[in-house]
Amino acid sequence: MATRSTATLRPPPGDDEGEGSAMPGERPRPFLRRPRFATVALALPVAFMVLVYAYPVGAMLLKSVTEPEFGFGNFGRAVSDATTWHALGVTVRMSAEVAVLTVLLGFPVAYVLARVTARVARILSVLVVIPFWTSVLVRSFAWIVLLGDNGVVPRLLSPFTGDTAGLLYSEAAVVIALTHILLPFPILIIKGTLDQIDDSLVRAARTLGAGPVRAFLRVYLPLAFPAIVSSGMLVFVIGLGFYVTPALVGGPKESTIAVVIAQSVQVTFDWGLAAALATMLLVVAVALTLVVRRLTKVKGLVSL
Amino acid sequence: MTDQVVFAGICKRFGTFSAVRDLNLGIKEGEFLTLLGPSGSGKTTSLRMLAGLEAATSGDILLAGRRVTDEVPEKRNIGLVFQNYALFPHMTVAQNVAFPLQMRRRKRPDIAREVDRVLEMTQLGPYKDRYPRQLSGGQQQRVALARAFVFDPSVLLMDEPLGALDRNLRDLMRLELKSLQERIGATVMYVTHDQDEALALSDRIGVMHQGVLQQTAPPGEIYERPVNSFVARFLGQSVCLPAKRLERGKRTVLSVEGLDGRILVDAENDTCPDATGDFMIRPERFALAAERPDTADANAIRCKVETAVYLGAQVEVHLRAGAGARVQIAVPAANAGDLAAGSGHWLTFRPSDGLYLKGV
Ligand SMILES: Nc1ncnc2c1ncn2[C@@H]1O[C@H](COP(=O)(O)OP(=O)(O)OP(=O)(O)O)[C@@H](O)[C@H]1O
Ligand SMILES: [Mg+2]
Repeated sequence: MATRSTATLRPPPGDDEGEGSAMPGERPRPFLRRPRFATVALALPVAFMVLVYAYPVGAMLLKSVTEPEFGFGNFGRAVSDATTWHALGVTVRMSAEVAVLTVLLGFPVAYVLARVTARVARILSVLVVIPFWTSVLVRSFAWIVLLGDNGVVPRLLSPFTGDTAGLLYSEAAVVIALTHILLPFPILIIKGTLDQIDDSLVRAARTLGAGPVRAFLRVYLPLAFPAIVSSGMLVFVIGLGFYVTPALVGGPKESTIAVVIAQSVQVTFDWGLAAALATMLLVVAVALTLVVRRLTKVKGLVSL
Repeated sequence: MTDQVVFAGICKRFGTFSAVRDLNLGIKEGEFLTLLGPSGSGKTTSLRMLAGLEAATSGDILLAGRRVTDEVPEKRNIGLVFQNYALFPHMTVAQNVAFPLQMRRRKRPDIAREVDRVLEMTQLGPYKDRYPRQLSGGQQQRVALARAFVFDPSVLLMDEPLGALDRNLRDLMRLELKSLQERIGATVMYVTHDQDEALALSDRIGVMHQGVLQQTAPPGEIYERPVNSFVARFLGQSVCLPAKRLERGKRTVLSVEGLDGRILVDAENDTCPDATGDFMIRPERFALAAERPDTADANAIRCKVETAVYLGAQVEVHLRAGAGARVQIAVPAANAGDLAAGSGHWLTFRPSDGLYLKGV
């Protein structure tokens, strides 16, 4: 009797080949109550986001076409002003430079963090995160000290440059400072993905005839690629709107769009223009993100 | 002819812990050799040393007569099927299988042809453009296999390749694996802790225990003539009882714990170097009789039925010998006779059926 029942349980030979058995989907959904719980759990954060994010953005968008009067006058002024285009160009260029630099510097650190033992990784991760405990303002001021006339960096470089004049109030200063400030993002994001890459994949590549370099380039790097791109995108978008650091260590010739917006609000009290510029920045950020996404086929921060 | 693979005095220590001790093993070309042993016995470690993923602490490894002990994995030309398959998730089935050929810088048309041929052999043709995550476990297993032999490696290593599959699929894949191995004539070193798998697939089985290779022999010999009681217990059903040797001669006379009287085994079945060891017999070698048989040289043990479980074709009988040993045997239901609980019977076996082994 026992043998009979096992025989009927056995699927017909070749059943594992079937399209249907490999694909889920036709199975009934097991947890019908789950969406309802999700709705409840999501309500609070959604309400919060509407309040602190959607509302201000909406208000800004509205202001750009209503302040001081209804119409696209603000955009007309912004578009016809060369300062706007220059600032936008500087902003995009610097953000891109910072994104590339943080990823290039962050990947090796993330790689080491993913390779060492869990204990060492914890200690090193804390070191990576510590700068987060310090305000951006303080860190930007620190760079003023380091990069200023007779500062540590110019003096270290003096054998090559011949003088100790500071690097401050330049695009280089902003890029250096922003790279430092934003570096933890790629490190932590890339480490998260590297931790999930199965070590046996690289070993498999080695037994299949790949040397260490080719195993890295053909197997490891492609698996890390989504995290590399998405963390670069994140840094880029944060960089676009960064105000404090460019305002403190950047020069007047390289005002970023954020600095121009702040001036419109604080100096010329031109809220309409500020809102129009902010809207343009938003459009640029979304557009460039979509372009990168299209080119690299990386969907976002969730990878693998 | 020299062996395709040779382990010569291989030892592996992790710190002070010895994972593999003095491994000496040769595998002939085209042979299917299985390492069988319980968890932690050093099977994977041995395989990884052959693949070059782990450095041996001492000893030498030869591949087709060439010393490869210190060679990097990519130079050894060994196909390894990982237990978790280790398929590249960012590559399609065809790309996975093409990978080792690309690493060998083969020409593009050759690669396409080889990949198609191998996918055909493993019945993966329809899935060539799928990604590993879109495949069932059995299909993934076949991709891993195809990838490991497409470049014609000198030896194919498999670390519990069927371990992740369910029972039915495992039986099916076992047959496929065997017929594939015969078709491509590969030399295979296989690791498992499933004895049925080992018996069904192997030309020879090596049983490992605590880092030591206990015995290497064809399946029949491992089963019939184990060198010690560990091997006896690990493969198949066995009755293993501590024993003392009383006399030696044409027959060895034993006193066995739990069995009353003197037990006779043939001299050639006495492989124990010591005066104390283990008496071992396969339960199917017992016969159950109502009366004491009158042949002088048969062993006969008086016992009582504890329970008898009817299983259709067979009856599973639990017996208890007068001196306390418990024995479980299967009797064909057709001639089971009276097996009422408490009834007395004689358990008989010939001296050629019992073994006296080194205890482990
Ligand atoms: N890198 C390592 N460091 C320390 N000890 C290790 C390491 N790798 C394996 N070992 C130890 O070596 C012993 C043998 O391990 P191995 O993986 O070869 O066992 P196995 O026979 O393959 O077992 P299983 O059937 O569970 O896979 C185990 O006790 C294991 O803990
Ligand atoms: Mg193992």
